[in-house]
Amino acid sequence: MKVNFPDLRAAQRSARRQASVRRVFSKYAFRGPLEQAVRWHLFYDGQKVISVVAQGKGAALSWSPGPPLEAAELGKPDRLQAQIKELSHGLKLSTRSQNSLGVVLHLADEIDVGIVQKEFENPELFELARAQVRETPSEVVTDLKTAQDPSIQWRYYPLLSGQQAIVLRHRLEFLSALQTLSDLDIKVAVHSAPIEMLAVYLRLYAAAIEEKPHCIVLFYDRFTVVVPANQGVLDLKVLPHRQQDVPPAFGDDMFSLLEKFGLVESCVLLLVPCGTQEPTRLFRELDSYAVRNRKSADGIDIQIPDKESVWGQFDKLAPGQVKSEIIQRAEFLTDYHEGPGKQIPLSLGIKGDEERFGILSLDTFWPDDQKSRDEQLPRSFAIAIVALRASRFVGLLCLLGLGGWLALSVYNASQGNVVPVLPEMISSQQAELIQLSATRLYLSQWDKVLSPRSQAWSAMDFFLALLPEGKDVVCDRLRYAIRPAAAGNGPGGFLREWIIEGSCTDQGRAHLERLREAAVIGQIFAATAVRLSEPSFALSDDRAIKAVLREESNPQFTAANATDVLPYQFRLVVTQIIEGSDPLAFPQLPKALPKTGKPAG
Amino acid sequence: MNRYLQALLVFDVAAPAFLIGLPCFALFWAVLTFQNFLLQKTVERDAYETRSREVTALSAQLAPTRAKVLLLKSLLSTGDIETRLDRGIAAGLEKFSSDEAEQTLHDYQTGPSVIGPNLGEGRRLSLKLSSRWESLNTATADWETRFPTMILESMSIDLAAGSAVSVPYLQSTLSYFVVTEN
Repeated sequence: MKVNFPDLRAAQRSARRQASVRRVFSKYAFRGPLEQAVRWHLFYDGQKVISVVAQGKGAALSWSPGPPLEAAELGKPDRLQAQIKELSHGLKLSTRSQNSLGVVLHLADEIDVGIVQKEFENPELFELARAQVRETPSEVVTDLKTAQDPSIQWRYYPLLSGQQAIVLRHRLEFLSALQTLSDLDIKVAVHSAPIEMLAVYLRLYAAAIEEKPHCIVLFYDRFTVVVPANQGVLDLKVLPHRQQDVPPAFGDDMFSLLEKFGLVESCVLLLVPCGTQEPTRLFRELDSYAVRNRKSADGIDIQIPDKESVWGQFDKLAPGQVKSEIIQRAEFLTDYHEGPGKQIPLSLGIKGDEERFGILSLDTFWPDDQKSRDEQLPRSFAIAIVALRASRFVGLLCLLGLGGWLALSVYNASQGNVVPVLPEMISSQQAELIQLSATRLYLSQWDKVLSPRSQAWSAMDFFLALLPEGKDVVCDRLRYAIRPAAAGNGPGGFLREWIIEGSCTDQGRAHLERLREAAVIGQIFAATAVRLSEPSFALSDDRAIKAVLREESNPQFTAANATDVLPYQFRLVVTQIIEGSDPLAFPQLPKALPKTGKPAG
Repeated sequence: MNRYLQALLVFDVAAPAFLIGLPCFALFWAVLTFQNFLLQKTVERDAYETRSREVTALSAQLAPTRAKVLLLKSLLSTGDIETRLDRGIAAGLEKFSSDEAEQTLHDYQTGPSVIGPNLGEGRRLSLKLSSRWESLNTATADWETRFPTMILESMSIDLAAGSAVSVPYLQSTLSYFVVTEN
């Protein structure tokens, strides 16, 4: 389907018009004419217009005289609109209800019966045929042109008891004027008055028809409709009056029809006055035809329904509400029927027909092809359009809000709330900070590396601390060394070793032996640490100390040289182990200071 | 497709999306970008101020030790190290007469310390001295104070042959490792 831009634009305008918020939230906007809060019923028989207004539904349905309208005014859109305005005003309809008005035109000006195409003669195909006759009547009705005037409308009626189907035609003389109402969101329906009247009389006479065949004759001013019924509607004939008061060959047509269905011997001929003429004229016409043609009409029982008794029957629909002087036309009583769209029953017999015609009488002759349906915006689309309109509004608000936010942010920034920092300042400052941090690290790390661990002067002092004063011990040789500790003591750990070799007296020997006691040697280490302010001699859990003494008799000692030579020789080994976890353990050498920027030191 | 659906898609979905949705998106993006820019600038500013405070604090903290840095750099420098050490040792010994303390040998080698790999490569100095105990003690204290980079690896002190026990004369051998900034 190709749609050009102007068409789309027109569709959008039409959609917008139909998708107002008021319509979306209205319970009437997307319903049919008979489901509106107020229905304006207009009966038109080609000469005069009867106008009645119905309000409410079911038991609450009330009737009132409608605005007076001349037949010629039906074709005048301005006049129709003025009357509707007056009607809304007169009924004091609320703003919300003003567009909940349905106009139902009951047409009895003319009617025609067409010949159904062969493929649709079977009445059981009515669902398909009903839809098809709305789209392309020429496919259902014989001898029709393909291109149809929308003011000519055909509808399909299945006659299941008669094993046939008929098509009826109405000409919508005032279609263009009524379409202007439709454009104003006023729902319009056009009903076939004879079909409505038939539905009414089938309902009233269903029981009687079950007992005895009937032939219902609906006597309008411009045509007469003859409906033979025997346990169901058998046929429907339209006899136009052709500028006369009665159909030109009424007797002939009636007898032909009754003979065709074998009803001449026993039948009730129900002459229903639907126009201004009395049906006795039909009776006279029939009687004169029978005499003239020597036909026996003894089996035909002629009845003319009494107006009061008929309307009395209607009163059962809504007790006290159905008043003939107000409603005037029995066709308007279709307003009491349930809404259209109800499933049409397939049962045979008069009950089935009563129900079927009750539904079919609501069939509107208003153009109902795909094109006209496409003109109507579905409620779901209307809701979508309203929702999208709301989202557009929200979007606009967002746009404004974001614009305002951006403007405010820019304004605040321009007012100096955010002072930019030049990249050169940042990089220079970062370099300075890096330099300073590196200097601090350099200092702390090298301080640690250069902490006193092994110096000659303190090692010598410790030698002296191990030995007693006096001449009880003579040292021949002193050894000191520092070595890495075993791997089990952790990386960076080390040990220091002091070795003393010499000779001693008994007193000196006793002194040296005491050094093997942990408390004694520990006390010497601790005292040295304090005396020299040298933390490497201090005691801690990460340090171990031990003293090993080997002693033996001096082979050079004799009684002769007892004054020069001491009686014992010894070898004392004192070891201090400093583990890798000790703060004094050797760290890894730090990296050199970075050479960027100005020197921090 | 239903013409109303087409119109709805064109005028109520596509057009507003283009005319409102896109500008909205663009503005939203602009606002976010600008806010990010402001945030980044604020963060930069805060970081700059924090660093400024750190620089000030560090500068104040390091001010007293600036001289020490220079000294350390000078001590740890490998440049002309042997001459500097020689001068230091000589200065330590020159206070004493040759009777009290005399250097008989000194020798430099390059290589790792016996203490372990943590100290890396460096100079190793071997000294032989003839001295009395006090002189040796004072002299070593002198140069070890001048050069805290000197780590004593080993030391042996023997009585000199014929030395009297009452006033001993000593033959000593000292081996140092000198830590340098590699």
